[in-house]
Amino acid sequence: MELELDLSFFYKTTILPECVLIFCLISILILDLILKIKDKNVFFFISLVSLLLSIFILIFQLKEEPVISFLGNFQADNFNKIFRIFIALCSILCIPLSIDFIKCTKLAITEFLIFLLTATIGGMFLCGANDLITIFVSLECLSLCSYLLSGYTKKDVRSNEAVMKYLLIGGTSSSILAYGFSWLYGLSGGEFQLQKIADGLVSTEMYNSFGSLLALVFIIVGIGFKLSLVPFHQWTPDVYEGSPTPVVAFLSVASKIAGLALLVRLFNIVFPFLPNQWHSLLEISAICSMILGNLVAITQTSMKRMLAYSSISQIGYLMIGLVTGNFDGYTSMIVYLLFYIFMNLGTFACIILFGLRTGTDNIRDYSGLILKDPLLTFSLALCLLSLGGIPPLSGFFGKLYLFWCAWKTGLYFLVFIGLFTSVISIYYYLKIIKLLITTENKEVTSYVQSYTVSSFSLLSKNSIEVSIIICVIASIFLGIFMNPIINILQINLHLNTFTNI
Amino acid sequence: MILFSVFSSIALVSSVMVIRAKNPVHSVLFFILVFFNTSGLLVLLGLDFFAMIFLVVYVGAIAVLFLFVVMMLNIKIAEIHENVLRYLPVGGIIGVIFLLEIFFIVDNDYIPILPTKLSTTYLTYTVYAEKIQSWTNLETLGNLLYTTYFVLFLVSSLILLVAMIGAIVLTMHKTTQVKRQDVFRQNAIDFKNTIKKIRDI
Repeated sequence: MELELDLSFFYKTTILPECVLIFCLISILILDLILKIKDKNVFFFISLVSLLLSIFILIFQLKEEPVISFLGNFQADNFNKIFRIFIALCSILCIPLSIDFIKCTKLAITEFLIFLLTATIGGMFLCGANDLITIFVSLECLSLCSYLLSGYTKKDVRSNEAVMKYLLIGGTSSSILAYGFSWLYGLSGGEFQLQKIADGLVSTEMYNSFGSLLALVFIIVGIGFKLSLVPFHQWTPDVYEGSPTPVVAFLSVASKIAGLALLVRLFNIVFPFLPNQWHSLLEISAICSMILGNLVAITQTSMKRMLAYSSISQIGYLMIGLVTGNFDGYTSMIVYLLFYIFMNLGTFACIILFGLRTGTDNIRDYSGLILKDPLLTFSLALCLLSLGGIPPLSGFFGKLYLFWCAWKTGLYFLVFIGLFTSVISIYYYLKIIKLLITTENKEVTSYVQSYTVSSFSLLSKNSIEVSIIICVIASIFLGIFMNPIINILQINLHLNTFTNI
Repeated sequence: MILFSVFSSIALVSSVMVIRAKNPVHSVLFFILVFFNTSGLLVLLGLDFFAMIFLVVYVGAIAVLFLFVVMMLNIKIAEIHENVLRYLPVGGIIGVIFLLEIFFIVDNDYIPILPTKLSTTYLTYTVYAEKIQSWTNLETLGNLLYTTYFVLFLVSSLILLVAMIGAIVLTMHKTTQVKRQDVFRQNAIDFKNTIKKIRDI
């Protein structure tokens, strides 16, 4: 027993970033309870600082050797660390978005921050989870906070509907996932660490059996619901439409990052014997996601529903990198994920700002926005174009690298579908931009007329505008610095356990 | 062995009755009976602490909560057993699929009558009870929770914290218009001061 104690204390720095966040969360809770602080901005400041701190710790830890700590519960290699950095980055960008939203809707601020931070912690644990129990527990941590966040505006009927649907679908998918895990546990002879499951499957000679295929299918279904891959995507538009917009911005990015990390690790470690099966299953769902997401997005009238379908198609593009399955494929997936964070959060930031000032999220009501606020129009247009993949912007470079890697490994059909659907996506993004810019029809909608712009001095910028500017700059210029990014990623991923197959 | 059969058969019968009972209150009561029998099974396995926890958590908290919810919702009994056979096709198919999945694992190790070709050598398991004979359940649990499964303990405690806060946030309606009685303030009011104030006016 002595030995185990020593080991678990020796590896405590592996979860130091999460511990920083937990400490921040508890301190926010206690400070809010004890002190009667009127100015709640202190809490935003505390949480932003702690998120930044945890990102810095992670970046410093990138040099360390991969370790499996807590007797196999938690693995800290560079792949996980990059994904954990991404999740913390999303919450850093999402917290400024939610400040003004919460102030306008007069909701409780502290609890919102606590839910957001707990979701971040859950996602970060999920990225590094190395056994089935940790995966399940941290997934539940992430999804419970997501349910609570999406039902946060409790007076809004649409939000109630959204959270009800999300809760039921999420519960179903979790139980399906747990069922798949129980198959793995049984087939491997009672192991639950990922690497030991793979060994156990070999030793029980069940690695190629029908049972492990069944477990694979159940796990894909379970994670597919979380990632909103196409056969399991039906909840996405409703939940996105009903939930508060900053929450949607967080969910659309953070849950996808965590889910992708889980998918890559789980399949590469546990199912190395069935590569064809899981590759082909994911390929089918990637193709369906790209086609259906982009085609249905054309017909949407609500901006948030349109972005929901757009995010379904984006997860299809990310799946291409996963299906490619080699070192370059994973690198391209991570690069595109990084770009996707900035593009998507930038778009959502613009929508939140517009929604706060006018109170609508209909696409029709955006027409002629350029007359009132050229800056917002410009940023929204840039983010949308970047999502669509127009050449000088970073979305283009991300997609290019993704398609190129897939082409090299011979996934011609997938690349063709990806290219074809990108064209469709550019069509509906351009339709919105045309609506924004055209000033031909003089009758500007009443919503845009009621739009009031804050003064243009830099000091009075509110927090949403700050994160819009960050996202727009990132989604323009990151693509140009893509080669250094890829180099850094490849150097860091080199130490990894499974990507150098 | 006799106790095992008694407990498990009563549990099975009452779990069927949970679904078939016409009155939802009866259904919840049968549910509690299932929990009692299952905890009896746990005691037979030697897991006394878990059996007690099972009773306290499920019967004490969750099932009684269900009972309250059912009683408060006032569901009409006639509506429920209207369409008994409506869901039979879908439910039957799913049930048959699950039953078939069980038969992938079950072979003559469990049921001696079944003919099977699968070898049973892969079912290796460790009898943990033999390894930790000197420890009670509680000691083992404590030792494992605070050392090996420390991360799990941390994350699940976070889940519980968030669930508690979330339940409070979602259900609390704090309206400012309604006049409330603030007990502490009312108790702290000084008689003389109150009278004085009115005299001043």
